[in-house]
Amino acid sequence: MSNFGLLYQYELKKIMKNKLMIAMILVMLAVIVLEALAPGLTKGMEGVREEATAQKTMDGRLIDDALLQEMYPKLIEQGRVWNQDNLKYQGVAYIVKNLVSDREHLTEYTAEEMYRDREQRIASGMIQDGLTADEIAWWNETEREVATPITYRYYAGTLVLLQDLVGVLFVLLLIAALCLSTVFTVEHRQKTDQIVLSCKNGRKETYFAKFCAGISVMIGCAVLSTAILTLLILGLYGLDGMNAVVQLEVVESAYPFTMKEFLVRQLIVMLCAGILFSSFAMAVSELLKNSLAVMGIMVGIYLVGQLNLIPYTFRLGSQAKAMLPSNLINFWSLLEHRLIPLGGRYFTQYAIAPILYLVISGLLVAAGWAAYHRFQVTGR
Amino acid sequence: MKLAVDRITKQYKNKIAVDRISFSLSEGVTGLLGANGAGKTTLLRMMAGILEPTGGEITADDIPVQTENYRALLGYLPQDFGYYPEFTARDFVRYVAALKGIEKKKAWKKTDELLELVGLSEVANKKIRTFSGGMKQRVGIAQALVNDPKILILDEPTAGLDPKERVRFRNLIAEVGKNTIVLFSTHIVSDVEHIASHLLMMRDGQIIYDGKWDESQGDLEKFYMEEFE
Repeated sequence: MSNFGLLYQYELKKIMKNKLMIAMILVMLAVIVLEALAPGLTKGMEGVREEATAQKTMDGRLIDDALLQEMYPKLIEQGRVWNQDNLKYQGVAYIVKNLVSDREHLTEYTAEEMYRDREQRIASGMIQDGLTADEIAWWNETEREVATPITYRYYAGTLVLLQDLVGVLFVLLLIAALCLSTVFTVEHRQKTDQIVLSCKNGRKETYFAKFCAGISVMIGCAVLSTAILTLLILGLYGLDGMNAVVQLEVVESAYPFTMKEFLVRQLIVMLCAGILFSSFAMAVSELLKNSLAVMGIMVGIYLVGQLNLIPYTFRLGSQAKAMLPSNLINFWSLLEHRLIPLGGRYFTQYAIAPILYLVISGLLVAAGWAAYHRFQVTGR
Repeated sequence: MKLAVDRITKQYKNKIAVDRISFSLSEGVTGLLGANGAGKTTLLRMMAGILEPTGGEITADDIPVQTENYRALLGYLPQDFGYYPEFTARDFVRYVAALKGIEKKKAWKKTDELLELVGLSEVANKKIRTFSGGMKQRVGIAQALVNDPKILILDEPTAGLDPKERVRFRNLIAEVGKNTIVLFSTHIVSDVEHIASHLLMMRDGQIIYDGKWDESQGDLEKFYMEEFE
């Protein structure tokens, strides 16, 4: 019998009995709760509720000349001061401020000027980012799906969720680096490898049971943390505005996504990145026979990914950096318009990166298998 | 069953740990005697399939050591017996049973029988990290026997056992040896002198004695000392 199911259960047990794993799950829960509470703590829950009630009255309104002319007289200091009288326009004013180039003369813009301004900034951004003429043409076609005038939706709770997933992904990376990097190395350190490898199912079945257990833990953590975060945000702020366009927050994005569609992409990125993190941690620790080195490499890659070390002119490198999970899950990745040509077609980073993560994970599993299979018990 | 070791060699850079050793074993207890550093552990690791020889081959009824079928016949207790601190004795033996491909119900029954046999049934649900050295060693013995192995390789199995446990262990191995090839490595002559029907003695990576042994041949300790002089 291969006993794969049983071995998988034992491997899960080994991971979950690790005190560091329990500590990391507690850290994960603490991060989620703090992230969810942060907006409420900053403004006070009463303030959040007041804003929400006022701004929801504008829900579904087109941001057009009619709305602008209604709002402009109510703005104080170009939309810097808010009171009971003008609070309902705060959300709209925030978007308008992001749409125009000259915030000091906000109230002088017509809707047409405002949207033209946005289009010009998108076009010049694409040229600055080194997009080819074909890519720009592709985006011009795609961007048509973003209907203007944009419809205003109250989306504060949804925004908290979309932004907080960045923190969740970082905790997942830490779990992989700290806990999953020891899945194989602990067998060598505890000298249990001798018994495991001398058993009938100690090679192929055990190797894949370990990998499946590690990946399951990572997916479990991702699902659990996202579910808890979603429920907390739903309870605290609500999840209005899922059907709002992402341009309400990232006006210079040409992606024709709603918040919900972007959330789905974030979740796909998170799950595939979770598989990548766990595969990397387990395979590289088995290749190096060193879990500490793996922790260093993973945290190092994350930190380097946050720095602007690769100029846009070095397209391959900077585009690869933009496709790192920690960058791709960020809301600001919606400003990354460089495409990936494949088989005569163009694909966005959200379409290619998750597949790439899975392909790399597969290669890591194969490399780890070679190291595990070749391992010899010597010395001691 | 015949376990054949044919010109097996292990070389590390400029050191030959095991030097073209050949012998064959059949059912019964074989004592492998030798001083520390003689190459016993290296030889046993190669026979357990966890260390690749530089040359030569090991087969059990023509089944090569590198194969899953060979490992299915094997029970192995390494010299430095590792365990999972958070596992109970019962968990650990059941886990090894799963590794050995034993069906769950059968494995659970066998685990309880073996823990009873090695005198750990009372503490079967206690974590191994709370055990004394002797108790840990008994868990190791139980895991090695869980698949009713046809080949049982024991590397210094009596280390850490008190005198009473040693006697009990020797009796157990003598019983197992009736139907199993048992290779029992030790540097303590008294561990094997009453139960081994066959002796191998190693020095500097080579076999210096390979033959039958019975008590009528005299004092094994004296013979051993003479061979190593």
